[in-house]
Amino acid sequence: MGRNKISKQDIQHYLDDVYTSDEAKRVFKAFEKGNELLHKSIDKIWEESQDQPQISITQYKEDKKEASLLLQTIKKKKYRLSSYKYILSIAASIAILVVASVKVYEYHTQFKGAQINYTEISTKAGENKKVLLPDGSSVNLNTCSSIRFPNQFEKHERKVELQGEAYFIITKNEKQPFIVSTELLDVKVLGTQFDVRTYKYDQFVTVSVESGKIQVDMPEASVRLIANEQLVINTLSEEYSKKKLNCSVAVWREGILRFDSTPIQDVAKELERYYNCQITFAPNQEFDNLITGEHTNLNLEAVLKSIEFTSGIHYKYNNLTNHIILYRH
Amino acid sequence: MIEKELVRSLIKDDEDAFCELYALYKSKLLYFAMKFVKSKEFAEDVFQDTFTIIWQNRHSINPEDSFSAYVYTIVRNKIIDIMRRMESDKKIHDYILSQAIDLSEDNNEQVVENELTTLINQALNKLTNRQQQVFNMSRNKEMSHKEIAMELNISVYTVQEHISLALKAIKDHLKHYYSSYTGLIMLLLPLSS
Repeated sequence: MGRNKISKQDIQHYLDDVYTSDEAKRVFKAFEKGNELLHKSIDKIWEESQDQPQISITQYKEDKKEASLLLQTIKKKKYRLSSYKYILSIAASIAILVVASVKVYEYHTQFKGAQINYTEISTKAGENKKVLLPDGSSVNLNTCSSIRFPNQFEKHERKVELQGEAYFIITKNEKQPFIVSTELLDVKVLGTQFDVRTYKYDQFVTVSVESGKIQVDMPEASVRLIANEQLVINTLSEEYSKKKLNCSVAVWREGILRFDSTPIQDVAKELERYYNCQITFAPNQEFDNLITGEHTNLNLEAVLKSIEFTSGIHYKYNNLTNHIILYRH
Repeated sequence: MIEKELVRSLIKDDEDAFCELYALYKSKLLYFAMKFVKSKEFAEDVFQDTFTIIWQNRHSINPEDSFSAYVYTIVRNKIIDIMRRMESDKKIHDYILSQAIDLSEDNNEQVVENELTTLINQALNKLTNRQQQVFNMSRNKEMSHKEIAMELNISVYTVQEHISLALKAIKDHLKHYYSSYTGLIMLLLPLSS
């Protein structure tokens, strides 16, 4: 009866528990045959499921008790997965073994070909550097950052390690993806222009794309970005979001300081990196301001004045020690 | 980071670590499985099967990889497997169909799909603006709960709350509609026979 092809709406109705029997049957069929839409929805539901409200301590204890009961049944071999379930579990463990052995293999080849030498380039406070990579790609390294790369890239990938912020212009090579590896995330591209900003103690980490397409791999999720999109990761709440960029990428290359609802703490760290100064917050006062604004080639005091004007946060500047104290009253 | 420690202990056969992880993941996995198998009983089976596999394969877990991604691989494969074998497992198959809005209990009339969409829209119109906005962002713009929370500057839990209230309103609306519809058929039946 009715259509055979599954639609987005069928899947949504099914997941929302407001499905007709025809819709349910189409969902079963789609599972049988495998379906791209369906797989996307499964991923989405998994993502949703991660944000369950915290359970009570009593519930937690009960769940733990339930777990130890399960453990006992498993150990007595009373718990039997039905035959197909068993095959599945074996398949899963084989898959894990394969992954593990590939890793070991990579590890070995790295050590056998011990000829690879690495170059590390870093910038001091207030400094920018242009770096040319072995494949002809270019990197603009922002202040207080460092990049490490091999003198010759491996055949299957071009991998660099980054700390801090850098803007990349990558030459296209579809057979040899370019990977920016950072402590928090990996950015994978074929050929594009983009900016990666992962300063260690900042609350916000961003990846911004100027042209082309990139993929960002985080420990728990993977996000794709296209031109004029930005991924913002809040390292405190561990939440991330994608947003449209309506201004140009990596304006720091032109000596512009830009804040966009940036927490004052991150602003302070940015100023320390740009002006090689030290900023502290007055004790026992709360600072939760978000700073927005653009500063072009200004000296430090001019920036501090403009922050004072918009946020009401005052500053005391010691010229000799280059030390700044921010205070409220 | 605590999770990473637990996984390391699990690999070293620590039973308490297993129980902790089990409790940590229970509500997530039940939410996930319920979306597909619909019955709490089946969802609990999926969850326990998943953790049985985890215990049995604990020595091949790589503590450096994401444990959550590992759990997801197992539970996802389980769900896909169950949903694929629907025809051979009549129990789940029949249960899911018994929950379909056109087949629940004594009503055997097929619902025209357009009608269903109209009914859902009617129900949505009764929601508050915020609920409508959140529901629309989730379903039509396909934003994730996190994305919605960021954009509206509210917590992820509030987003979930809005969506579950919206879904409840839709279900109530449909239930109300179909029960009066069934009543009508019952009234008409004696007349036509």
